Amino acid sequence: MGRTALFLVMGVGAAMGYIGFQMYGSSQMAMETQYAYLKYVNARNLARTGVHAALRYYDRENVAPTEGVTTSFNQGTYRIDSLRTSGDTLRMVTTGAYVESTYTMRLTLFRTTRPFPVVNGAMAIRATPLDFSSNGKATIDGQNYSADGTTLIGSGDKTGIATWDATDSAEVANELPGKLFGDPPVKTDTTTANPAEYIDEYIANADYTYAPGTYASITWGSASDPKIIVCDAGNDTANYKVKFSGDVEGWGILAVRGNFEVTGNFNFHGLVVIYGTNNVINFTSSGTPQIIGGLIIAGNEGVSVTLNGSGSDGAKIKYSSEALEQARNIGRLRYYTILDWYE
Amino acid sequence: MASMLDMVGSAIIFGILILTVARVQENLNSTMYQNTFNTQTQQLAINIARQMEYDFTKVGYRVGTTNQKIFYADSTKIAFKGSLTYSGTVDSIIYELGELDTTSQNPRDYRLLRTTNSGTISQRIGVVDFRLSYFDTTNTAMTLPINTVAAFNAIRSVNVRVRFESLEPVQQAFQDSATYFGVNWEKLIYARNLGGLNLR
Repeated sequence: MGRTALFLVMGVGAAMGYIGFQMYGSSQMAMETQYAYLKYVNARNLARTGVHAALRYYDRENVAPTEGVTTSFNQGTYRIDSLRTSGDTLRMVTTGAYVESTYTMRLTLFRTTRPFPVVNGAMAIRATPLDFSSNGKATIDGQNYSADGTTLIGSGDKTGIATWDATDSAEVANELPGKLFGDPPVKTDTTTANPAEYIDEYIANADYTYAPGTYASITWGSASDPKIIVCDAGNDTANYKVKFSGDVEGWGILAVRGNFEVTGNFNFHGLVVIYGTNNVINFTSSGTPQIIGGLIIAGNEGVSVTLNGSGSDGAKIKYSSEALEQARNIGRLRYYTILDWYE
Repeated sequence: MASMLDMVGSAIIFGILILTVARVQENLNSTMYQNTFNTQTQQLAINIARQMEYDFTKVGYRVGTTNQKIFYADSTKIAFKGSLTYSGTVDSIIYELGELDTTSQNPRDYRLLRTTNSGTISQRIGVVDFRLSYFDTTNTAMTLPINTVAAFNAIRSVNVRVRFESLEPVQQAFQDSATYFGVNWEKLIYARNLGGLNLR
């Protein structure tokens, strides 16, 4: 009887053990199935991270990233297998890996530029009333110059200065007799682009930012690597301003809010945008400040522009479609449309 | 007499023990079935999820940037074109909810039909709910039915919601109160070739 009971208990125990093992195996399988999906999803996300990392590198460095380099990220890795360009077309292959799961993406993209404000003159003012004054040898020239400002292109000339209303046009013409050039030298134009529509992009992608203060001897980028510079002096133009002095050389887009003062040898090639509520732009009488490209000035409650410069050449604002084109193609302002994407 | 009582008592205790063991065995079996159906349903859900993700990410691939890519878009059916393989030929793919599956014990499950140029596969996978919705460039849900080319071309993403249930009941088999193990899967899929996303 005792032996039978022992066998019975052992049999029941074995049956329980078997059932328990089966249940454990079933739970384990469910977990493995879910984990396999997690690995697959993570590998896919890492491959996408590779795509974005490659584009960011290409935008900032203007060259393709090194191929085949594996980068660790989020407990997995991504690898840019290839990034080849042909004009504005990019072909890319990336692979994400998480544990033993891998995921590959093959895509073709078209590289293009973000919307850029139309610059319809060497200086375009989208604000009224305009308080304009000028002394010395300052000139505003709407003829189309090369990006360095030394050579006339011979075509594509714009107006010298475009104002928001006729009264302001008359005031500018009166302040700059014989120093306004272009086709025509001055005109009233209410189609000047509103820089407010673009400012958020510039702020978000700024390479350099400046608070109120005085800054000297700076270089912003180069002709082949233009930059975005944002200066925010605030709306209190009586007490705060951003001032640049000494030798300042820059290429790209310069966005300024509030009181902006330049002196010395300030040379900027590209687009200068003045935005804000009540702006003050002052090219002081010392030095030879120069903007080659285009200047758009906006102001909800009007704007004050003083254009002096008593140096050998005085202050100059020259229109240059070439300098504007360089600014338009800043890497950070590029974006990509998908031609085809396989994953 | 005492010996007789011992034997009767032993028999009764043995009977109770056997009944208890049988009951435990039944409960364990039931739990094991539940686990099995649980695993099967989850595996089915994940397999179908991966299949749909694979297919839906191909919407419009190699069709051409200006050509129509989606041809039918309703709450339970979508028809689109795209190459399912890298640099392959363009295929026509249709997903739709089929008829009730009468071969399973689950009274609510439908067949899921996947049609390509190779033919239609009727998938018996315990789909009790299959819902598609569509979003435009502003991520706004589009009103169904979508029946103009302009509206088809405006689709930028497809939200897929599927509820799977086990084909067989996990409890109360053959009764109206039978319960089935269920899994929900839902995903908003941005098919990159629909041009909805710009990268930077």
